[in-house]
Amino acid sequence: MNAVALVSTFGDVLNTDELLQIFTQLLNKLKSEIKRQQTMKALSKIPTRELNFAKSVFYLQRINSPNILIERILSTPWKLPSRTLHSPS
Amino acid sequence: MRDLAESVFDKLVKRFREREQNVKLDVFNTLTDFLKMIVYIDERKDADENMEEILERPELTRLKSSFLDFNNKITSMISTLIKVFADKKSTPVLKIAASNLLLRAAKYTPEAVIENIDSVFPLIKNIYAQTSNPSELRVNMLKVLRSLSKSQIGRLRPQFQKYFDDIINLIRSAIQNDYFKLSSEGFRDLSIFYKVLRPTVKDSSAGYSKYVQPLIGLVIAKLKETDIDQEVNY
Repeated sequence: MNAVALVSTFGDVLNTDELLQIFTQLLNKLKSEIKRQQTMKALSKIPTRELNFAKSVFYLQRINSPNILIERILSTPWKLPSRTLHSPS
Repeated sequence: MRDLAESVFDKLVKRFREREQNVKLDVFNTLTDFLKMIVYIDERKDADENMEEILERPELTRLKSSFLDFNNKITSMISTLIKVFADKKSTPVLKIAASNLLLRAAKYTPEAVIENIDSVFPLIKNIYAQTSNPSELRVNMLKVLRSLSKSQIGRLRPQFQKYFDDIINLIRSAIQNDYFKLSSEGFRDLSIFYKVLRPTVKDSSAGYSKYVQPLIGLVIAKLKETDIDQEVNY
């Protein structure tokens, strides 16, 4: 959440490397939450993390970051695992 | 009604000297309710305090018109509260109750508390710095700082601004703390501090290099940490 606040206030002064690190970590959090989706507790956290990520991208667009940066962040390779409520045996 | 309220307020503040702890606790609770009575406040903000920073909705917190000149009362209450914190006979339970009252004052009447920032900020700093204090008390001090900071977004006053260096040092110490309640509260303080420095992206980012940039590494490092404790939500 602090990272979202940081991007929303100083996103235009952060350098590209810092922004990429923040967005990569936000994506990683989202990914790890989805991987842990076997429990209801983890499931309930997914929307919050998705919201945090979406909000950060929104702020980045609002401060007119170069499109190339947004494209680079959004094209970061990450794949959602198939959603299943059963834990792998 | 206002006259009655004012006379009751003074009498309650005088009862801070009460010897019996339970009576003191009741006095603090009554004053907390009293502070709630003199303001119009949007209670939805209390529903989920973790979310309040990211929701950009209009807020409603202001003194009722009949209590607009209530600041001097708050001043006397704060100076008496400081004595309670300084009193060696005060138990941790009592100090926590006093900190809750201070927190309510900071939340409901931040401008009045900012008027006393020269005595309130050293209090926040000292209580936080004493590691022997209960964590709840230290967390409450960080919450007081957050409420005060929030009131300065877009209307920063010089008496608050002069504490920026101290505030950022306190926040840095909090976010590096091993105890997750202190570090997460530190991060919440930091989130608000960004907004105080730069209320909108159109404003100057002058404070960034001095106050924010040195902390970026810490923020990113914390983000990289794996979620060992599932309860932590930075």
